[in-house]
Amino acid sequence: MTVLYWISTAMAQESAFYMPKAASTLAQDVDNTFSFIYWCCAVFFVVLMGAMFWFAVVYKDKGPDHKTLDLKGHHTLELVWSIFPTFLLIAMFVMGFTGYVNSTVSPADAVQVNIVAKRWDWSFVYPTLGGFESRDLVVPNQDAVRLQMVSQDVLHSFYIPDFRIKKDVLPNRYTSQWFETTDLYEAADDELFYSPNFNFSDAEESPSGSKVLFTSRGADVKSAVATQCAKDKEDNPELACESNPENVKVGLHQIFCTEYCGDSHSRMLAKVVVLSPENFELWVKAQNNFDAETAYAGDVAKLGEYYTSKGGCAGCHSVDGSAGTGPTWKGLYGKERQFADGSGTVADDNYIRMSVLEPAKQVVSGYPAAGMPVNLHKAFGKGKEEAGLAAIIEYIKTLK
Amino acid sequence: MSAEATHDDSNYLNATSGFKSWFMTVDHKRLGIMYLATILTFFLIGGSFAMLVRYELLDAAPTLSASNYNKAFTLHGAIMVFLVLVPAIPASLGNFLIPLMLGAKDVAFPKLNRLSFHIYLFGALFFVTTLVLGGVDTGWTFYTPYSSKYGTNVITALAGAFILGFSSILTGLNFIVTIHKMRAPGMTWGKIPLFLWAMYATSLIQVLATPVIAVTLVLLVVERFMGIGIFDPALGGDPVLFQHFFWFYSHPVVYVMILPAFGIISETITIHSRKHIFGYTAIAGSSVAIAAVGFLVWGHHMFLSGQSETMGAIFSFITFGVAVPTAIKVCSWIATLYKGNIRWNTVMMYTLGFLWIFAIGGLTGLPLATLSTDVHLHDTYFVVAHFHYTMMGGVLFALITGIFHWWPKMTGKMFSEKAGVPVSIFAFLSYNLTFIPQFIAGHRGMPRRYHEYLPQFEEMMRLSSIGSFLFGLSLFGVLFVLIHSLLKGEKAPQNPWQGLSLEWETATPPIEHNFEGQPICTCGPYEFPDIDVKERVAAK
Repeated sequence: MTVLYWISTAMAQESAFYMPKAASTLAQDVDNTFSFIYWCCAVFFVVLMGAMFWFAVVYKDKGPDHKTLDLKGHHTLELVWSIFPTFLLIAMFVMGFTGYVNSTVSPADAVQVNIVAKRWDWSFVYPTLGGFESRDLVVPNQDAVRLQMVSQDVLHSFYIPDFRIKKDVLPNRYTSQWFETTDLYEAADDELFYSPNFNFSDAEESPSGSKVLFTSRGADVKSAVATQCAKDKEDNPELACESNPENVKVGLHQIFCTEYCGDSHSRMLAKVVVLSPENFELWVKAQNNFDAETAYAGDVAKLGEYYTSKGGCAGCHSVDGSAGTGPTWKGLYGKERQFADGSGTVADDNYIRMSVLEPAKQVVSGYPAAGMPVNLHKAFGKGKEEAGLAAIIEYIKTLK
Repeated sequence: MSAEATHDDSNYLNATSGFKSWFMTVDHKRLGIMYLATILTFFLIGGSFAMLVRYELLDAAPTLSASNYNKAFTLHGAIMVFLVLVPAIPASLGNFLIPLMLGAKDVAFPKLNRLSFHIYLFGALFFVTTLVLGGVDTGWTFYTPYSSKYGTNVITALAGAFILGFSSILTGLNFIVTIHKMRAPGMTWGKIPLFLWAMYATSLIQVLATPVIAVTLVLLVVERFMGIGIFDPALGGDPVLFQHFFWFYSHPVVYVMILPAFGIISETITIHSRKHIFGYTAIAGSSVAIAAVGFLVWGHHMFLSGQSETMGAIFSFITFGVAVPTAIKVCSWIATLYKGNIRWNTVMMYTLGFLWIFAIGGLTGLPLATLSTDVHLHDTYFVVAHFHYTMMGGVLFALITGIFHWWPKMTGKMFSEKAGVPVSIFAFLSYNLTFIPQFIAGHRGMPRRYHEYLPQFEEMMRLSSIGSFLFGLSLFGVLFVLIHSLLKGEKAPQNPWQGLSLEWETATPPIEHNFEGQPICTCGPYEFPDIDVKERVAAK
């Protein structure tokens, strides 16, 4: 095994062109296995295809009178090409198996994150750090993180290419996975979805437009860390932390859903935001102290935007006019609505309120009759439903 | 026309005429031709959906709506798997050739053969109708609970798959009995052409695996109408159980697709290189070995599904067990070329194209069988490219090889080599252009079944789409060569390739009852007169 490991490590190239960035401790081991397999494949392919083309050219038709070799088989040769590959295949199996065992058994002291998947968004809950919820998977760098995952509806699959991890998420039992990041690598723009409503056609014009709060390049995480730092510095000016959000270093990685789950499957996305352990602590503190009403006091529309992001509305409703499972919010306010039953109305405050409370009552023609799933408690917190609805209405008014 | 004259020119194509003489025929040759025409029609439909899917993926930004895209790839996959690939070779070329190669008048149960064609037609119409009317968007795998929760169509879709499966059970049964009982005198098991060994192994799988889809169907019906929780977590069932059932059928079925392809290649590579097959026993035995081991590897589709790590390890290990006989086959075919007299004709071009494509398809299976690397590749475009290389490239190139090789026998016409060879090269190149970029995109992490995707994948996806349009074009080229042959082709001699198997012993095209008398098998199918027997004596 040691020899195999040594050989494959030696063969593993630094960031081969077909590989995404290797950003977890597991990734290096997986890439070594890849490289071992591909070198074996390359040798076999070149030998086999080389022989094939060579024979095809050298023994090209020499006319009907040409005599060919009387060869019905060759036992030694057949044994060689049965047994030699068998050994290589067993080596592949062993490497794959040990790597897989390492990726499934998480260290005991890992930070636990519970993942709840539903059509079509992810939410991340930190049960041992205060029980708050996040839209991005925010993790401390070089620290083991254990994911415990469950789905609220159909099968999903949680995939982070940069970490080489993937696991199906089931509705009837927990599945788990762990990883540990190696550095603060910031994925390039074309490696990330900006938002579920990212409009590719005007990508040039608005490359970093954070249309939806949680999908920007970790901007909200940076600002939470910086704000908390500034707050802590008031008590302890000696504190070494970064109070300018621009300077907070993060690692960014794309999360995909890879088990087909319906219309917006390709928009069921999230990001990993990696922070240094110190910044992660600040972020956790900020999350536990976070109070949306205080944070957005004086800006009701901003509060509304926060609620829609927390409620996962963007999984179906775009804010830029692009098509989705539900109608877009762009230019919605004040617009004439045509319902499936033939009636219609103007989208005013009352209409929006009723559409949230009783979504199946008046469905805009061309959209699913079942309406949408609503959990006001979850989005707003108990007793804050009316204030929350008002904020959402104000937010929609701003989307012209 | 005198009775004598009719007799001289009479063959299975012109012996009788009219719609009924074809539709109600029990002649295995006519059934084979009708199967081929039907399958190619469905291939055209399934292929059109593939073009639509590739058109959508030209740009990272969507052109089709998500739900239309999802329906398009579902129809593409379901039609290609259940209506095209499963029956592609066995029902068409298998039906046509098995009795001819055995020296028999027909299959063992000709009426059963007709019944299975009629069931196929009915099942195909039923299946496509339910998919289209039901707007099924689940992908061809129909995974629960998505398929049962948000659509009601999993029952009807599986019912369609089962009706089609019933047709393939009957065909398989018929072939097993035919190969056992109707071999010409002198044709021992060691002398039957390798195509028949492959068909025999295929038939065994069809008979044994297909009933599982019926069991699944019954369980779904029981769950839906009696409320007994089997797959639905809301009722206490387990959705992963559905995947076990599904793949217990659908994995062996990939060998129903590919084993006959192996059979065709074993025939064409010997005849067109004028060599005895290298390692007859190894090739015949490995077909049966693949069929047997193929039943025990379904769990490799489910490494990440939540099945236990121990099961994952066992399935991974057994999966490597399939790689060994497959490697033996490929090595044996290439060794067959050694010191041959290789014809550079259309049939050989497709044969060599098959070997290239299948080698890539097979080798890219290795990182998918390996546990830790499969975690990264599972459900990405790498898997899509891998199974297209094996299932689509492998089966389709072999099918085209077979169609060209036996075309003179089926139609009595030769085709143009001048057109056939360039088209084959064009098809080969555009095929690789379609799927090699998908390996790279998948490796970089692009998930499958995405109707919009990250900008970084746009380059590869666009190359793949362009490749697929060119490949589609090349298949129309193949169609052109065949139609040109029907209209303008020269009359084929009885044995244009100087083959030794019994189908070349009769008239081309064959007479209605295949052979004038009972043919007798005197020598093996690969002992060509071109082989230098002296050299063997000298070597001894």
